[in-house]
Amino acid sequence: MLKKLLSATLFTFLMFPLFNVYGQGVSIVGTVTDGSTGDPLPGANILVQELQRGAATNVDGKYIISNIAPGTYTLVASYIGYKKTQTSITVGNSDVTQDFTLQPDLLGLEEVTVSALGFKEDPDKSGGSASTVSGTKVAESGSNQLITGLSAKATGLYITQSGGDPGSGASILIRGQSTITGDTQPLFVVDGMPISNQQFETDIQDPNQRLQSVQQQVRSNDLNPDDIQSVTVLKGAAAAALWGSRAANGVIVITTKQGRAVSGKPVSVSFKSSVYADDVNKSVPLQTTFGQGSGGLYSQTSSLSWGDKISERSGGADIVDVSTPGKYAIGPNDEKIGSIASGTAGNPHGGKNSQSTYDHRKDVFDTGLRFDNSLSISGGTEGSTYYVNVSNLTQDGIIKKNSSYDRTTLRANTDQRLSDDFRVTVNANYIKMVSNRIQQGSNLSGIFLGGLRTPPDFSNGVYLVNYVSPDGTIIPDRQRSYRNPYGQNASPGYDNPNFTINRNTNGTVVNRLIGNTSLVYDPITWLNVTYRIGVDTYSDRRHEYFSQYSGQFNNGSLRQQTFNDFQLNSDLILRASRQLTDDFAGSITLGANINHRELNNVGAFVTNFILPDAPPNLGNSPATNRTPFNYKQIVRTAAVYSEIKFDAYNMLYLTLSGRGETASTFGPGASSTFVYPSASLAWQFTQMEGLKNNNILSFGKLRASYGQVGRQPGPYLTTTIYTNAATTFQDGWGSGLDPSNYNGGYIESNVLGNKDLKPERKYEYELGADLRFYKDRFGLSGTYYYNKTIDAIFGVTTASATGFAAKTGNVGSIRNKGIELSVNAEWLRFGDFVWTSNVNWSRNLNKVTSLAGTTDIFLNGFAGTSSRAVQGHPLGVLWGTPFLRDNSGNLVLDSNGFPQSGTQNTVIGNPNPDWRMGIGNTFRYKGLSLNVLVDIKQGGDVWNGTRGALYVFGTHKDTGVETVAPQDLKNFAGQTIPQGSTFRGRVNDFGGGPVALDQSWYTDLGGGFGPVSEQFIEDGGYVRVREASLTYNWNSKALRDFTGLSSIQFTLTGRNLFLWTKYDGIDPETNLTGATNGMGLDYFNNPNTRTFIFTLSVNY
Amino acid sequence: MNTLSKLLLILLFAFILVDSGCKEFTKGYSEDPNNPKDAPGQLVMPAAQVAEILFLEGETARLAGIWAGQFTGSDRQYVSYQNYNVTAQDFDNMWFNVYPNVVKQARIIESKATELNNQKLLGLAQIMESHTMGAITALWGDVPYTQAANVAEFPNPVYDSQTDIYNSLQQKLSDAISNLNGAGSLSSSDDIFFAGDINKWIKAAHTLKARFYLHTKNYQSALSEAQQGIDSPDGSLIAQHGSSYLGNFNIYYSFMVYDRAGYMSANNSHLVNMLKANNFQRNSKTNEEGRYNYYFIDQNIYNSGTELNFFSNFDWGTGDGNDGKFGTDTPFRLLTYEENLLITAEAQARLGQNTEALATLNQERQFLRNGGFVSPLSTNYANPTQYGVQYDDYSAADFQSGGELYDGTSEQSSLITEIVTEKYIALTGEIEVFNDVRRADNLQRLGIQPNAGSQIPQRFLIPQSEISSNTSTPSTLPGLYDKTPVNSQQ
Repeated sequence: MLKKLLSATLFTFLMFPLFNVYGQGVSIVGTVTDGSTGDPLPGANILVQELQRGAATNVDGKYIISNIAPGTYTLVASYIGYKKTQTSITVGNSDVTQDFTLQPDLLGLEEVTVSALGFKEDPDKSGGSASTVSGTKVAESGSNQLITGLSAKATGLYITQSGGDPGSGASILIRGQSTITGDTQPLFVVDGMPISNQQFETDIQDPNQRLQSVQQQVRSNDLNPDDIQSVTVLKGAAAAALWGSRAANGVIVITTKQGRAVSGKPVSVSFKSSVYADDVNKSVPLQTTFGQGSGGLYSQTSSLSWGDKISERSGGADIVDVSTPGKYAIGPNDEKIGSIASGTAGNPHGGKNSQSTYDHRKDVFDTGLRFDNSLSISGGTEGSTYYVNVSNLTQDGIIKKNSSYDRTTLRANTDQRLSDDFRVTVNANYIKMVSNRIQQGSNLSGIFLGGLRTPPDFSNGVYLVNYVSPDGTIIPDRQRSYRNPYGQNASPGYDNPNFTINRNTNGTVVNRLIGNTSLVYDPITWLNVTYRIGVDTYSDRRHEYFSQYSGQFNNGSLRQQTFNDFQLNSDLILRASRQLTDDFAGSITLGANINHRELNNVGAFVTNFILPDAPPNLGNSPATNRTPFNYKQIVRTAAVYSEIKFDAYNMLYLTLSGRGETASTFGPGASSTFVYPSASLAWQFTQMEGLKNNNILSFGKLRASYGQVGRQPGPYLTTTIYTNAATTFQDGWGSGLDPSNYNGGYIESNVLGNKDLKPERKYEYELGADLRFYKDRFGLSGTYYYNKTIDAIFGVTTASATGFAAKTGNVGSIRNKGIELSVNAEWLRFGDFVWTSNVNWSRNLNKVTSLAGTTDIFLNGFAGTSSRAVQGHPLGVLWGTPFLRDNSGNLVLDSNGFPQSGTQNTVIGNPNPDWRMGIGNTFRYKGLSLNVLVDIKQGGDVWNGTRGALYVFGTHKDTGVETVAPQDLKNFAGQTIPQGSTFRGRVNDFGGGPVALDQSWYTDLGGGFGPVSEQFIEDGGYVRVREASLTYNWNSKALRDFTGLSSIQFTLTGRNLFLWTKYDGIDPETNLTGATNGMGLDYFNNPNTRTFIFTLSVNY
Repeated sequence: MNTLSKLLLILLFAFILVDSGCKEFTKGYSEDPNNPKDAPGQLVMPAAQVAEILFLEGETARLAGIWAGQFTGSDRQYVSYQNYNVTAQDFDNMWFNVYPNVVKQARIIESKATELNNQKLLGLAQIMESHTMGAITALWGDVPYTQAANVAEFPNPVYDSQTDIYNSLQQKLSDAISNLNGAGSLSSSDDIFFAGDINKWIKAAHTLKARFYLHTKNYQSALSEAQQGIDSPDGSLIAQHGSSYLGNFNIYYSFMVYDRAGYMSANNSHLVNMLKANNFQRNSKTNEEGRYNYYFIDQNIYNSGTELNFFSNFDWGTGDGNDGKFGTDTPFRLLTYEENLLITAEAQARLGQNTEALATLNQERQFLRNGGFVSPLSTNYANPTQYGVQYDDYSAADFQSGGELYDGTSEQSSLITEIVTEKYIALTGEIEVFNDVRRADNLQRLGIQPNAGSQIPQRFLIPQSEISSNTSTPSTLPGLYDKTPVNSQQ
């Protein structure tokens, strides 16, 4: 079918005798200059509004528009970064000259927004709310990733980077989370073509199991920020409604750069080169006072660091047994590493004499380096423009080895005007990405899990030894870790982080092609036909390798898999617009869209290598230890849509739109077509007589909109399948059986297919105002929105006696409401000195209003602490066990004055921030500008599972203190610590008098492995200097004349320069589970980074 | 080309695209290309048997064991279980696993087998259905049966009376036996337990009938069925296990070591105390040291006190022959020769056939002496040179006035007490132990004290999912201490 359509399309267009010949007439000519410098502006656009024809200025700022019939026209001059200017002009029988002087638009008030369909729009006429961020701002952010480049730059965006590893993904929530278990990420549309922003976890069928493994990427990272002209974020349902059931999370519309026709200058070359230096911006506090062991006694094999006091050791070399086979190993430099006697009551240090300590936060980190080079060549002649960019980013992460990201992009955009009424646009983008990642999280190979648990007196430096076994034979290449200090066991416990980074590898290679073609036909002046077809296809080839002797897989394991993702999208759009009378204008858009998405995943997982050192090869495993897997899904969507615009008196702008849609994921019992309507109204009340040309209020607009969007059900939920999946045979506590271990077989699934499944539906209305004062020097914008998602899809429990345990249904509902405010101001203009600010503030309140009778739904996390949907609470709340409290909320203490564990799990934290704010200030003086962006997140809890675990292990800084008992104190074990004696720990009063918090407390109820997770919920709010950059733009006449270059720019940028937070751990902008529905989880996550960047741009 | 023709062409094109395109475009893509929509009965059987193992050996058995005084809930939710603090929600998973994954599958196989006139497969499915439904009704009393697992016809299946269910199961098992003798064939891969051995299944069906007659205290029928039941150790229905986690691990092991370490132990349980008393010398003819060590370990691994013996050579390197009863790949017993012997013995004793009962009990003791209580991976526990293993034949005098096992009332009663005690020990870890404890006067005979309060639970609770989603669920729900109908009858 699709093929037929394509050929029909091509055929139809090829048959059109479209090409008209240019006619004769007079010309409009003129010069455009920069109002701040007086220099000519090459490349500025001049448009004859009535004719929708125009030209661009040449190198000398001159333009010519020929073939103009006599009449009166509106002439609009525009240029990126300058305020648009328009004037009326009357053309007679001879050429007319019209010059323009454009003023810089320092506040960005006139950024052109781009609609859901990819067409440019005037934001002043829009009744919806969209935020636009220029590509320059994204590129300048110092992040190489599109999403994090938007951090703190617009209202309503809640961006959380998964972590600081190279290429690590980020989650972007627009106005909060509007689904319970569905995908939360917005739709990305590039040049009118939706592209994939998938984040595939290792096990594609188990997307919520992200507690371990590596920081996965999101595929929007593949775009080169330098290619981006602008990013428009369509936040409200009305703005996004034309994408129907894919728009529930909002739409991010990206426009890539196009060449510009500047006559006299067919080629512009721009070269940009940046060097980045990254380091860890914040880490976990550790103690270095006490050594390995327990109960104050040194023990070389203890998992804990509750041992002897290091400073009380004698100093000098340890007494090491290096002669008894079975008690020692031979290190890489032939040194002998062996057993050390444990401490005793008489000598707590045993054979340990050395006072050396090691900072395990730095074991595997150093300064990461990035080199980013980007070369653009663009230009054109009238009727033909092109843009070509090649870029390469090479990054070595802050982890010393096997943590890297290398992205090469190649882009070519061209726009060919074949005749007056026919134009072809081709955009093509090829990306190659190669990355290596390191394990993190709840994983024996996570670098922080093993690393931060290591006692301060153990060096992780040597990670491989040749163990001398009791019978004298040497077993080579055993892993050495703090629990396995001379390789005496095949299983090391936790992996030595140096072992992880050197031996366990995780590679991913992405080859991606995104391309689209637009055929644009203007058969009559008021009608435009656009046909757009594009593909986005990539393969992601991955391996996950655990070496022999790794903690996770003692005999090694290898998972090798390839994801193939393919998307094809086609739109036919008819647009008609007419000026009906002097006061009324209208336009109508009709469109048809088809979309095909296809995913394939194939691979195998093997364990128990036959030859441990062989290169990664699936065949290097016994046949019984091989698990092959494959998965395939196709989702198809077809829709027709329409948009009607109506302008009245140049002040009222009404937009109505509707999309009728069907998709292959809808149940056959549900209605086959779903309609998503929207309406928005903007009123520029300052156009009213009396308010016009007001000196104080230079612009005022009120806007209101209402819209509906949806979310498609996941594929294949509509029928009941037969399954042999091991997950079907589990008993609720994690235990299970797999029929493939018993001859195999299939049973009818216990999940009932739902033939009535329909899309989730989100209704949203919003009200807003945009005001500008004092000749637009001061702008104020505010929006209130309210949205409600009903028919949220998730699995509901059924009466199992019916033969089914669950059924996917349209059952939940959630609402979000919030306020978004932004202020743009030009505070000061004093000669060449200008100070401007952009401030944005957003608050979103989310509430789960119905879960179909279920009290809570697990979204992500651990059995002890998880992120859940709980009825009556914001989505994603942290759920765990609190301390036992009485009815009035006081702790119920035991007889010794210690609290006790509660019996029921409950909501213990809310990871949703109270509000977020971005404060950008820019200071300019001639070619010099300083830009500082401060990012504030107020509130938003994070579960600090790292701290909880390190309390138990006794390596956390809080456990490294000594206290003199001010009175007789009970410890948690009920023992008495006599007054005046010194103990390791601290005094605390839970309300029943002072008690001693010592090892017995921290390793039990006061630690992370105890039941009470409430005590590890922390405020994850922060204030940070997200970006600070100093730029010098050298474009003096001397430079231009001497070198022929148009400008050279030097930029020094710092990203994440300063961070103020109460959070006791790594940077709280982290999430173990990445861009999933679960939030606020930190359990040995890899740390975040601070970056210094030097950039040199040369423009010819 | 004039404007009008251009417009017409465009509209025509749009019409082609929208009409022929959209309508057909999404058709045919809603079906899952990864999973089948159907499978033959021969392939449903082995997978359903795996699900059956999970139900009979998984959390249902653990909770039954805790409430029967064999094990101890020692951490988190299991502390609540230990103290009988349970809510309807705690039983959801048990029914999620058994009704959809076993009962429904049995019905599917029955219908497919009937269609193809494969009576042998039909019989096998009927036994599976009866086996699990018997376990369900014994634990929950009145439950959905006739209308269960048929969502199309009965979206709210009614609760049948327990007595009716037992009657139906006896009939179903009789049908199964005759069907197994009928047409059709079974290949070894259709059946993970007996590889399609019809004779073993017929005997197992008789033992099941005997078990259910015992539940309903019809001792005469129980005796006659048991006499046609499993008559040798290799006729026992046993779940095999292996060393693949989430594949074929012993479920007890997976739970205690991999999934929920520390949640369950046997610390201070009735069974532990009973076996350990008098240094394992339960009476002068019985030394339980070998059996105790096979069942339990007195080491602090995840708990203080006594753990279930989950040692294995696979994970703990304990050496060949030392795997515990709950080791990684230790097989789990579902319906055994020894149960059949002890049903026979109890029925005989209850009917006053003391001589026959004693002889049958001694048959069981011979089985123990020969090391029948250990799995092939655990032979050292039955080795008298390593542990005390003594099961001398009892004599009638032992149970008579003045005898060591005389309970002060009668020879018959003393015999019953010893038979019930032996069954309590022999079937450790099986649901049947909890069924026995609640039947007749067995609780008093065993001397089990409640973990909390003054009584032990008499049933499992109807799951929350039923209460919430099945309108046929009785509005007055039976309480934890309400006896099931068959146990209320004298």
